Amino acid sequence: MDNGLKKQFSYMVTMLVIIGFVMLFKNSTFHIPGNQQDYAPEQPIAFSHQLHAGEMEINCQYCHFGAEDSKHAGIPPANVCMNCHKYVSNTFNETRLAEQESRKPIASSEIAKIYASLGLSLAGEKVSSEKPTEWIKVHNVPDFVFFSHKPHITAGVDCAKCHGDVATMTRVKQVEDLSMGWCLDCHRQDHQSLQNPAGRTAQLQDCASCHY
Amino acid sequence: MKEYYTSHENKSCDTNCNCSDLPSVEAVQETSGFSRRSFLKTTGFSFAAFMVACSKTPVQKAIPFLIQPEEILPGKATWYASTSFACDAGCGVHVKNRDGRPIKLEGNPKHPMTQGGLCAQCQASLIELYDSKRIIDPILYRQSSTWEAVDSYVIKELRKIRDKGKEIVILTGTATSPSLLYTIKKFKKKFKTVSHIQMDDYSYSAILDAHEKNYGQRILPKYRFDKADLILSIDADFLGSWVSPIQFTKDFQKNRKLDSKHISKLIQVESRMSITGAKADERIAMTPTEMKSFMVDLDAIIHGKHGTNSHAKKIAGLLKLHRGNSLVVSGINDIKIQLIVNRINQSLGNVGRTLDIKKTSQMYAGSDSSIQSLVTKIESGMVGALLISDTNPAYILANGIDFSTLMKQVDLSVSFSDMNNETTAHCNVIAPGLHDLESWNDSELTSGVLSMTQPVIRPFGKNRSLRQSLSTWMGMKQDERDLVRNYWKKIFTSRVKSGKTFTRFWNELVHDGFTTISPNSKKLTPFKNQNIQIEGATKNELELVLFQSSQLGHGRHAENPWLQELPDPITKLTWDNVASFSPETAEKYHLKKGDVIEIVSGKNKIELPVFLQPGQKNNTVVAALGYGRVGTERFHKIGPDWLEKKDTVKKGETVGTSVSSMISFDNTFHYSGMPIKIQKTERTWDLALTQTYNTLSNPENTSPASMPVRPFVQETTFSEFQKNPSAGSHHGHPITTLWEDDHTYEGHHWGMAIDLTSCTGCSSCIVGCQVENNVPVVGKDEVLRKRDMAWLRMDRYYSGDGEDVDVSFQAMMCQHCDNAPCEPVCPVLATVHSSEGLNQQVYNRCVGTRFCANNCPYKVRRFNWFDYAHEDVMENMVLNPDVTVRSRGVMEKCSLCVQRIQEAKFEAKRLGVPLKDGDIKLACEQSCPADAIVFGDLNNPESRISKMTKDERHYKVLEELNAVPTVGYLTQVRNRDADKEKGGHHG
Repeated sequence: MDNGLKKQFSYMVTMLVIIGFVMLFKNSTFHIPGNQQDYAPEQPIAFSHQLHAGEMEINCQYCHFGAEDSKHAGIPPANVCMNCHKYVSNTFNETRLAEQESRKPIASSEIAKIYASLGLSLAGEKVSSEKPTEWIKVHNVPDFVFFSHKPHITAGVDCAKCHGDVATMTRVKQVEDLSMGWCLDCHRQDHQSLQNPAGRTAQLQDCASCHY
Repeated sequence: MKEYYTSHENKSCDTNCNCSDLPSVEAVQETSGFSRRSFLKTTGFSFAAFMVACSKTPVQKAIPFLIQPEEILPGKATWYASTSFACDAGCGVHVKNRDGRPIKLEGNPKHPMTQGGLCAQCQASLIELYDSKRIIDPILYRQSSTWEAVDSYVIKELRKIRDKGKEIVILTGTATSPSLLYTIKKFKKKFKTVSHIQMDDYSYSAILDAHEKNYGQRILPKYRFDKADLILSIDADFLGSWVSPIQFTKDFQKNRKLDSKHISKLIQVESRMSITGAKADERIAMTPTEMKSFMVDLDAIIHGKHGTNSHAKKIAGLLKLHRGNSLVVSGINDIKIQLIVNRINQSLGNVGRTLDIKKTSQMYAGSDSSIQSLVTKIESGMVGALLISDTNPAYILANGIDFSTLMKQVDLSVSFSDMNNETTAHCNVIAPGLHDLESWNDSELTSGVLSMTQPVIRPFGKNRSLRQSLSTWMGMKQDERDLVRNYWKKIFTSRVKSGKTFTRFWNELVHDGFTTISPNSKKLTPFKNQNIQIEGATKNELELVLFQSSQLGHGRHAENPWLQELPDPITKLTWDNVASFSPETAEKYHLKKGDVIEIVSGKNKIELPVFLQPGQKNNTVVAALGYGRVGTERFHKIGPDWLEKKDTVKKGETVGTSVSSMISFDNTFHYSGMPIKIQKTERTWDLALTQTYNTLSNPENTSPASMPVRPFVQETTFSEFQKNPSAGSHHGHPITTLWEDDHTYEGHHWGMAIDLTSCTGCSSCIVGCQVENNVPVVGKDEVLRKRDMAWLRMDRYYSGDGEDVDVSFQAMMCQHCDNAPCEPVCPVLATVHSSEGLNQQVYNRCVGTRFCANNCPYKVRRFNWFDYAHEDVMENMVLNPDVTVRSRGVMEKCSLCVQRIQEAKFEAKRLGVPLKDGDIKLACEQSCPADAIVFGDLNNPESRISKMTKDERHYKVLEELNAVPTVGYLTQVRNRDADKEKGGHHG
């Protein structure tokens, strides 16, 4: 093989190797298509799980109540937010500061967004038409996968096992790669218990458990 | 040897060296550096690598409710009880709603009439809700308009007509809604000269008129097929399309339990081959003329007089042995025949036992004579306004009634249809009505049972029910629900004697979908015998028999692609209607399948392709009503778009041909017995049949000595069955096995069995499966190429010949074999066996080799040759979100509704209870009105399926191949004498 071709060949091989390495790196910005690990999109309302789930220790299923009985855990509807935010429209600090400075507290702009989605002013009057919040879904699996939260919650799988330590996240990030291999890592383990009678582990590895 | 050289420089070079003048290749490359070719290669490769590495999955949004109702969870279905009126029999349904839209209809198991069954038409009616061609705005003189404009115009016109003294005619289908009848009553008070005429798509008027003559009131009795031990049906396809087929199928099965001492006997007398004829224990083929003389003789013999017909003699003898528990019914719309039927039933003491004339059926009340008087009135200019709802007279009405011309003589014509049809084309105003799934409706289909319809989705457009339109024109402003609710609030104490409060009554009614109320029986006189004179019939060379298609009804569902592609249960024909001949008659006229002939009756001519129907009576021509409907031109482009594509219908043409002009009308609609002449044309027509093999006999020169007939369908007679329960069962014995039995089913082991004795071949399971599993519609051309996509097929086999033919049905779907031949041949392991007994098909892994379909001995695998169009966004709302929509290149097949199995398992786990037998109902199982399909856990010895597997009648198809299928069948048992068995089809 003469020199020119050899050059091309080695160039391509190097490219392949670099890309290969890069793809293998879990924490790099390059991924196998479909892998959305470390995806942390900006949301229309800057909701902080670190505050609500972390500091205030609100249970995951208070807001994401769908997880127990449905395939979707669900993003809470505005009425769940308003359970508290009907009364709370500014931050802790702001309340304290406002008291100190003897002025009216300035409402949080993010909380104001909930009111706006319901078409309400901060005082509670209807001032505009409703516009539901369009959250960006962080954890996605392809269409040919049927994933249901229901059996996982029933089996006692902790939310953090798949979603990571959400209580420390200011902005939700996908920490696991949610690939089939990763799912099978858990499905292959033999959890012998009342919940898992004979044959269950084998059944969890059936293709038709998730692909139908 | 002397060495020669060309120049001094070259002198020193070797004889082997390249001494030419051409520059060396290396020299070229080196001077130009990086070549164009390699540049392109590298760019291309880098670009691809870059794209691959940096591609992002598209952004997905999640938009929650603003205020979420407590009961609704996204991803979880909510169920509502309602009633579906795909045909006028009105089946109780449970509607499955996902994300605010209905995606599946299932029979309401608690409903006293339909008891959980649902026919193919109701199952498929769901897609008609999501039809983008629905009219969603009121139309005034062919222009889209507003309700204000339409209302003021109509009110003005109605007042004008009232002042002129002309008549306002409200023409509807049979109105079973008490609140609607009340609204019409008030409308009459307001507009004075109002008359309400009810017209059924297919007339049962003769039965009602005969009862009027005999008992003083126009009633349709409630037939009790469960109480009858001997049923004689004269051209009444009560299991397929007559009156209320689902209710009758359920009731009929009740008296066919093989573990009892005796089962009912069904004798069917008919010209065509119908589902009821297929199920009959004895079937006698007669022409319509012969049926009339048979009836006369039967009547005579039963009453002790003389009759010559041999069949009549035998049957009369049988009937006399079953006084009080026999039932004679007839579908012939001739008052004289119906009077004979009434007389026979009365003499045999059947009235009040196998047919109820006190608690009657109210689903059909149309009167043929009122149609004639309407036509006369319109022709004489007495009618000023025609308000047409729930009927399509321009298509349905018979020979001699040109309704479209008649409508021009009426000042105001209003249609309440939400689809463009033959009638709306001639109406000045269209006030579009609501689909059943969008409307509030009360219906008393049987006296004493009130069925409720509630909306399960907000109306797509501005449609309004007939009730509300009439109320608005009377000046009353009430919303849909109040119009029904307030009526019942007013009168409920007169129908509900239990002392319940109204709120309780209403809530129970809406929640359950039905309630019992006190019957509204009419006052009947004792039986008044009538003198019946039937003229001697002339023998016709050819007689025409028209029947209601069990898929389309009388044209109502012609724009429903699922029903157009549903193979007719007997002929297995899709996308067409035909003129059926018996093979002998076809030979007489030198006709082959597919020849286009012209049928002439009086002044009317139609053209239809020929079809040969075994078992049909000689000298009859049978054709299905319901085809040739306006609107079916839309199927011109249906199906995948590819190079060799042939259109399902030519541009501008309709699917099939309308035969409505052949219905004869002489104050009564006659659907059979019309004398016709035929003429061959030069043309032929392709018929898209899903089954082209009609028999199980092996060809003579290739059949093994022990198997002249393949034992797929196994039959026996009741008397033989009682002696030996395994009579008729043939079990294949696998010769050798290479497979280890390594399928240890520790958990569940799912299995299914289909009872061929119960199955009537109605094909409701096929549509149920299609709705549940997002099975696409492929169009006529693909069906012709044997690429239809239905996961479940209803095989129909004939045995016997001439007019004495038996029909057997077998539902065939993936058999989920333990030693599945399809599993080892998949190069990518896209089809594997689950630990619970299912043969799984993993769509995302399939690369489309199609080796599995090749290997399947049952040929139940379906390949997606194309991306079947899903561009109609509105139609996509009917898709089941729990099931993947398959793309091109992927194999699919029955999955035993694994999504339903999983759902039931998750729910049982959540509640912490074990799965009970019957918790999981597959789509086909749920839909079957005959309860022929049973599914369950074979590892549970108490389950129904385990018991059925141990039944003596249980067998498997192609057992000798050692595929070890999990789906089994139970031998068909007919109630007839053993020596009448035809065809010899048990091994």
